Amino acid sequence: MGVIVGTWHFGEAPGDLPGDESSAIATIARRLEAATGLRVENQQEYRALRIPPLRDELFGWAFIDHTVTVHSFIPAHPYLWENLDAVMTAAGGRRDTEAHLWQPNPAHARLRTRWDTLSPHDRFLLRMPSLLGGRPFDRLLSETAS
Amino acid sequence: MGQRGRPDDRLGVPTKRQKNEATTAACFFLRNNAVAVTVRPHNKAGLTRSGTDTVGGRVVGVIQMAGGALEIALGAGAFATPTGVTQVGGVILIAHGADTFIAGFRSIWSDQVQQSFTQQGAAAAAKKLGASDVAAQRIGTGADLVAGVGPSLTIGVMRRLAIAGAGSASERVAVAYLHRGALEMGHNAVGIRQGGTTAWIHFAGMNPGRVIPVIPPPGAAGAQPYILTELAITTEQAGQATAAMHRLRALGPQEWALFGPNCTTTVREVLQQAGIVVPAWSQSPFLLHLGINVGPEITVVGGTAAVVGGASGGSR
Repeated sequence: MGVIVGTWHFGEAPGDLPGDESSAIATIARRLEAATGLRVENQQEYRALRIPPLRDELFGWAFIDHTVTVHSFIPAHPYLWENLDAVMTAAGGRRDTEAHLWQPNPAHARLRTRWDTLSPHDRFLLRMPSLLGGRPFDRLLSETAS
Repeated sequence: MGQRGRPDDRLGVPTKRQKNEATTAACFFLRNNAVAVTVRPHNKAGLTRSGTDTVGGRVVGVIQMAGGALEIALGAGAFATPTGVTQVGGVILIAHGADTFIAGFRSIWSDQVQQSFTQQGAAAAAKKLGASDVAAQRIGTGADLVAGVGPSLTIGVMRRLAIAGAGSASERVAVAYLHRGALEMGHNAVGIRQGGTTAWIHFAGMNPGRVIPVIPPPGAAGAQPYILTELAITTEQAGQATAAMHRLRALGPQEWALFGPNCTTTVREVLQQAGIVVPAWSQSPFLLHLGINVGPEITVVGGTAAVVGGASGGSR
């Protein structure tokens, strides 16, 4: 029932992402896989990255004027978006702060870690599907790192 | 519920005992892997009514209420579409749908099939003009059918023509539906094609979100596999829809909500300005996709079932 949009600016320097768009998406996929430890499927036909364990995907990649924009379905998956932001900022990107774009949640900062370091309780909650455009059980996520 | 037929029962024919007993609405007779269902009405005293009724009042009542609700939903969509013709059709659908819905409620309440006031009124008028009982009954049913199914059928035919003519039309509106999965909701976007180019918008973000252009646009290389439904519209409708798009974009950030604003309500608003009737039940991406493509047909089927069910009540 909607999409989440995230945008990162890379300035004049394109960061360390390849100039070719398909290669850039593949690089982001590899880095996301390395950061999370989760399998990331690169669907080149639709330029989408599927993350099956999270039941989510990143699609609609647009590379315009040193800016990278990507979408996912609502609601934003906290683990996926926190780690995507970690990957994009590590690549030299600066997150766009416009109101309707995705912004990190300080309460979810501790999710920027490998999947297998999260507690079983958190992994269970993060695997749950969304419900009517919301993730009501995310409020039960642990408040401290396991 | 129901009683099992004895081994020597003929398929689907209740025994004398079963005929005489007060029963619940449905009886099942099973023999040689075949199932026959006989539904018999009964009144509050538990006695089976004789007469022309062959279907229980409660079953028909539910069908009437469902058919009436579908008519009201399509009528509300037609009334919200700012063209004189659709608004008149919408009023007829809402009024007849409410009549059918109330008849359904009365059927369930009394457990006897009740006809709509439209049917009764038309039958009474025909009788007054000298028609026989049977002819008056048929005229009443016919009037009921025309009032309920007529506007839905007209909207359905117009919709088919608009979809069929979209390929060659210079102005058209396109609805994009992105499927997500059986349990989770997908996404909608809307595009207006004018002068050979299509401008796409969608509602993006949540807290807050806003109406922005779709990048990459549906149908472009590398875009997600959107399902597109295109409808031909007039130049005037395209202008109104484009104005609606600009107005929605100018609203700026808004908090996303399940019943709007969201991607589906954004598309609905543009479609209404383009003169496209959308049933009121099209409140999610999938239901909007369904409503655009077969909404009027669903209403025709529901409305017909309600009228035919009501007609089974015979004259009273």
